[in-house]
Amino acid sequence: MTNEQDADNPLRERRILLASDGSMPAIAATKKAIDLAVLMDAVVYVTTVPERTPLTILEQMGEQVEDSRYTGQLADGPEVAREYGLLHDVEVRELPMGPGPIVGSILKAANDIQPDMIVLGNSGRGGWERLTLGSVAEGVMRHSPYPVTMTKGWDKDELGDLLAIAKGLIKPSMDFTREAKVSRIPVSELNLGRRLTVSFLALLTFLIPYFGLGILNTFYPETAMTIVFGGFTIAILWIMALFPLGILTGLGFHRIASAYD
Amino acid sequence: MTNYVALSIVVALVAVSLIVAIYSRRWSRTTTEFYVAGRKISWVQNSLALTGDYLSAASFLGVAGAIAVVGIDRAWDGIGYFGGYIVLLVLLAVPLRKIGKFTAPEALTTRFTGNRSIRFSAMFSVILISTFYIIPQFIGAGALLQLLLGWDYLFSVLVVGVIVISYVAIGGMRATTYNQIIQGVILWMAMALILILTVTQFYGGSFSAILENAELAVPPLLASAELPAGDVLPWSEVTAGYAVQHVSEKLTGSPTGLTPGVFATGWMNTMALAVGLVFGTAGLPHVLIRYFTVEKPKDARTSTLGVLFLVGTFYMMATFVGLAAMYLLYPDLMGHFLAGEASIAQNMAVPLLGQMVGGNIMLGVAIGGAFCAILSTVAGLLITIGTSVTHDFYKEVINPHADERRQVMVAKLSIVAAGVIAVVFAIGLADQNVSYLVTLAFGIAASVFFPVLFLSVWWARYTSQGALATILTGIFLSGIFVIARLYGMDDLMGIPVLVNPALYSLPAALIAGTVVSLFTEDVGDVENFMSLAHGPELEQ
Repeated sequence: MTNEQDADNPLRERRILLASDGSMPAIAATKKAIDLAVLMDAVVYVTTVPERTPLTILEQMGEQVEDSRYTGQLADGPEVAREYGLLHDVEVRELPMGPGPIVGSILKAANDIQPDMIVLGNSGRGGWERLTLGSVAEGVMRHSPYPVTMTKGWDKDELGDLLAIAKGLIKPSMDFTREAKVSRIPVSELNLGRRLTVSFLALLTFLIPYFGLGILNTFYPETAMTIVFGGFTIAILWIMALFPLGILTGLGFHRIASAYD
Repeated sequence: MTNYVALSIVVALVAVSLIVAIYSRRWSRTTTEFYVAGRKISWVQNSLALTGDYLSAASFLGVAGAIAVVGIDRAWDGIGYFGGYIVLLVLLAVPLRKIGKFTAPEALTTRFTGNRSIRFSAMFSVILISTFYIIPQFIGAGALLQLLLGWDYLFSVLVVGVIVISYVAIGGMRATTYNQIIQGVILWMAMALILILTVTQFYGGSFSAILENAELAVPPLLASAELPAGDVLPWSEVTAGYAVQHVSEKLTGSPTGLTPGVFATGWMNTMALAVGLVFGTAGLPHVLIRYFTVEKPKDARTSTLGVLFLVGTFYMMATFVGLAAMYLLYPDLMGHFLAGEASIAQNMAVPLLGQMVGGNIMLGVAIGGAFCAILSTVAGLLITIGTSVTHDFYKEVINPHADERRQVMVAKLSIVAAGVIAVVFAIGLADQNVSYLVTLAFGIAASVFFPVLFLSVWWARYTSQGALATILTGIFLSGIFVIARLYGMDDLMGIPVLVNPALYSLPAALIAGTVVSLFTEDVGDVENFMSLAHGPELEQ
């Protein structure tokens, strides 16, 4: 059964897609999503999309400090929804998404589960912030084929018990422990010697001609100056060949290393 | 006299790059193109950011400019810068990313857990290398503004310093990476445009013709020194062909633009330059830091492949631009040299060629490209210093529980301090040849970060004492040989002083680390470290 057919099925479970990054606007949206789920007898699918940026750690911290003026401290969005859902007897399922463009990822998640409603919060950014960062909520509203409910801002009194849950689930301010989880493998089993040999062979593929050019220029300058065609001397051709050689060496190494991975 | 057309182009290029950079995060947040933007672009962005970060004024103006005044010998610079990425690719890129830390000193103490001597000496090297690297950027920027606007040098450096430091520090460090991405694109395209216009307008589309012309010209560096005193032409009034022919006839048998061995004389100098450039590039902290930002270990490799393509093609273009500039600008270059303006001749070859092939608009594109190179490189260097001071020192020693707001504040303060120091040096060193600062930066990078990271990542028997020995030997030897060269010494205790110290200091650092390790025991948390660096990744 296709997704479209599935969506038309009157017996199909009703679904609400909640996008929550654990910010205060998203916590307000969480309350709305659970309230609606109670009314609609729906299951809530909650997703968080980590922003994909190639920023250095310092830039990320700088961005987060600026963002926190609008988002408050970030909680674990899906976990907050799950706990609040439990209190109201609403089933909450997490829909994990990898890092990516936030609007695109939310629309992709919606396309996957065909929700009856998408719920998300508007951060209320204005001025320069809004100009430079845009509005995820408005982006989703504009492009979503599904109904969208957008909450605006947040009211601490209204959030009440949900706020207490969120405060208990605040994420560490910055995830500095980015270490991949690995099992400890004895060094002798890592094949370091073999890997290093492959690496050195690749390196020598470039370094031998590179230093070879130095030897040619130093000890055989007349050969280096021999014109092969046009104005191209052996030295010039050698120099021009080193760049593609380096790129090809890199590609070859990448293939071997990828196969090893 | 102020060249308003060129100035407008420069301002427009820099403004466009800043605006696009600022909007990039908006685009990456709000685009609906899930697959295109989300899945494949990460390594492309990182390649461009690395390219923008790495291609400094020394690359944009310096490589082609040096070839224009010295000849093909200086193509070594471009090949060396390029080759450094092959070293990174095969030896360090993926292990560094897999270790999962944020600075090179921190990566080291992941193995030698809690060893502050290693972390601080490495941090000191980061600051030293990066500061030495910033100073020539400011000097170049000051000279460009001086030329473009007729401003006083001191004022020019202050203006550029204030703009860059404010942009990085006060701007909340937003969009620095995105800015590097855009400026990487601008740099590459500016060089391509200059080359295309040159080869089509003056050489009938033939690259061979560029080489044939360069073979007729005695490099201005040599010619200006060897021409008999008083035998000068009215350089501003003669054609390039006439000037080249006149000098060649006077200096029959002299090297030409295609003669090797003009700059790096003798095999030891050639090898020293080669070693310093290749392994120096692989040890530059602002290059290394970008490997900690890629999302997946595999992206570290693909990013580097992207850089190899971008940087490789860039230097191929720069080689031809330099050789074309030598011939086409021969009277200008000779005029500058004979007026004692060697650095102007070298730095202005690309902009002047731009002006020749595309009037004031292309002069603006060339200078704008150089500005983009300077802005993105200085921003990257300042971010690197800020990250290291905050992450390797402040959070490590002073205030381990500092929140983000405080860390960002400390980083900004350190960025302002480093920026101000660099500006002060740039003002003090005006009109001096500061290439030794870059040599020193490359020398230390090649002799400290490359060997210590290489041995840490690949040798299980390496010890903390060995690592410290590597770092200290590298700093000490590269430092004293650069100082000896600065003072014009031919040899130091019988050892020849070369164009780059790395031929001595890199092997010495490797040997010191190896020997000390063999006599000591503290191999650190080697099993965990090696599993991280080389083991399969189970879960991110």
